[in-house]
Amino acid sequence: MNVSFYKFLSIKSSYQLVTLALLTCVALFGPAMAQISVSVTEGHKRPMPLAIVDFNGPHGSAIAATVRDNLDRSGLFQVQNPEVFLQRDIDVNLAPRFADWRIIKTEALVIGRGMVANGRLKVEFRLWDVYGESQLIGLEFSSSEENWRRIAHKVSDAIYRRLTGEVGYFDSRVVFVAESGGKKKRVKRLAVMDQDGANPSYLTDGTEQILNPRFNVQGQQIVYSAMSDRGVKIWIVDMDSGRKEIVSVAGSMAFAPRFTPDGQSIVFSADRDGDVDIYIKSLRTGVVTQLTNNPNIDTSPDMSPDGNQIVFTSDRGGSSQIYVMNGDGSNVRRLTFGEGRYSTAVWSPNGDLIAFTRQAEGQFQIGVMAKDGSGLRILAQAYLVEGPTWSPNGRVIMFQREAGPGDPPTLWTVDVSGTNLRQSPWKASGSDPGWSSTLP
Amino acid sequence: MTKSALIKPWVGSVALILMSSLALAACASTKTATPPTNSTPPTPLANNGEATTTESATPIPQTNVQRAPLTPPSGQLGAGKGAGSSIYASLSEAGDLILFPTDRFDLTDEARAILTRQAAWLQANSTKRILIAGNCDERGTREYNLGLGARRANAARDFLISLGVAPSRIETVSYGKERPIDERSNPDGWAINRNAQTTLLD
Repeated sequence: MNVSFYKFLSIKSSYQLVTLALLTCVALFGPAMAQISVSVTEGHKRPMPLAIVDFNGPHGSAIAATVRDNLDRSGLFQVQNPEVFLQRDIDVNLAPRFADWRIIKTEALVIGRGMVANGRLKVEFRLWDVYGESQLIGLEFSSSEENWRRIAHKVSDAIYRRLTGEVGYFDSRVVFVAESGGKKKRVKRLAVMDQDGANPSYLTDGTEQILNPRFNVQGQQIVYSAMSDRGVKIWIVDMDSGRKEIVSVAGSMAFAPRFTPDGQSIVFSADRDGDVDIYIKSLRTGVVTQLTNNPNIDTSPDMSPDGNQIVFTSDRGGSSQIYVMNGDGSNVRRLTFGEGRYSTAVWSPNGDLIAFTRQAEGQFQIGVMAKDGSGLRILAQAYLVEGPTWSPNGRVIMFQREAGPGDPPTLWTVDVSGTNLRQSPWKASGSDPGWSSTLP
Repeated sequence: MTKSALIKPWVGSVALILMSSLALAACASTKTATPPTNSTPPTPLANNGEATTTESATPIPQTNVQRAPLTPPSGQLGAGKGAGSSIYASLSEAGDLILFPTDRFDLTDEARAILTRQAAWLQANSTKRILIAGNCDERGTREYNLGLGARRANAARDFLISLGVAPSRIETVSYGKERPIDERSNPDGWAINRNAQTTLLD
């Protein structure tokens, strides 16, 4: 068991709770009329014009800028440039002049302010329906002052939820592998950042090459594999303590680990004399159970959110394809057919879709399909794209992309509708992203 | 070639060192060259039978030249026999890299020939242990390639065991596509990176 503390102070602080309170409605206005809304699936066709005024008080403009960036990157909103605003410096407890906002074609308006007392930052904001002239949300968040970005993400999530009807995903983190150096001597460090690329920190020193890290659903632990000269081992790092612990497995090769949805076990692949099969290990009892048993490669297991099924990659049919089996290894069914090779299947958070990597005609693709293999759609394609991971609300997929031969790997996102392809704000080399649940 | 026995011993030592360098250079060049074809494996250097001592190929200190009778040359040093003294001065001279076709882990004739020479060297150097690392090109996903590399390493291991090398002397590992030996992102580079590479552990 190794213990290390790379920058964990900063990680811990970012995990401090952000508390929430409902702002009392401005007396003048009645309950929300709820006519204003954005369709997430069709949103790209007409992004909603949205104005976010710089919040008053400490961190106010930085919080507003972060909220703007979040909502703009979602592709669902036309976030307006503050330079065109006619009304500025609006008191959060006063109603805006709606005519000023209708002139610039704003449909929804956000006004807020920050206050600091005893080292704690309190942020109040209201979301207004400009045409309905009604308040849609009035909320207050508070946390330690250095946590202002998390408050901004909470504000973003609240706006997103109110306007789209779907849970937001902005207050979440991404674990990934930060890459540096040439191909032959590539340094691959475990790293974690906010979903918008802020607050990056490294959790390993680069001695070993880190592969395919994943959060548990609870977000407190990361499981990953680490490659040394003599093998690949599975490790778990605890985010609160910084403690790293190896998950002991017989043999020199244990890889492709994922937590089960309950966080109590790990499914993974191991090599026993050239036979690569899928196993599950209980972290409580230490018992290892073999789930597949055939001479072919079975890897990249991912358990469905309800815990009943495991989707995985196998070449038992002659080429790499996606299969699904019951949680105990029984009832194996093949999901992908036809041209191309398929791998790295991952369940969407609510279990209705499966994202995957496909190789065909010399290109790599990211796609999604229904859990029975039907309705297959390709969302992105390049010289190399691989390793899809779902945003906590299942609307966005992040993956690794190399534009052309020899290009460095970078992180990209695409909407599950196939629109809004864009590079992550984390522009440096990165691979193997794993998206967390939304933070508590 | 029996002439070499008449040459003064220091000349023989220099010749041996030179031959080792040539062998190393030849091996290094195979890593960046285009993949070997299925032509007949290169025949061992003709004078190796005389130059090789009965012991392992540890470097001979230049300040301490020793004189010893050569063991009688064997007429049965064909590839694949493996018994008796090795005809290779080093593992790298025997060949430490075998290549695989795309998405395959079965051994080509060329790979079998190289592994047969490895087995012969291992039989003659019975204290040595090896690590076989399976590697893949970048045209696959990470975890599948870890599996494929494992199968490549184990295909090589199984063949060495079938030639009589003790399983306890062989470790395997897969580096998947994480440790390419050729940086080129093109078919030539990919061909070199689909390999199983043998290195000494001790």
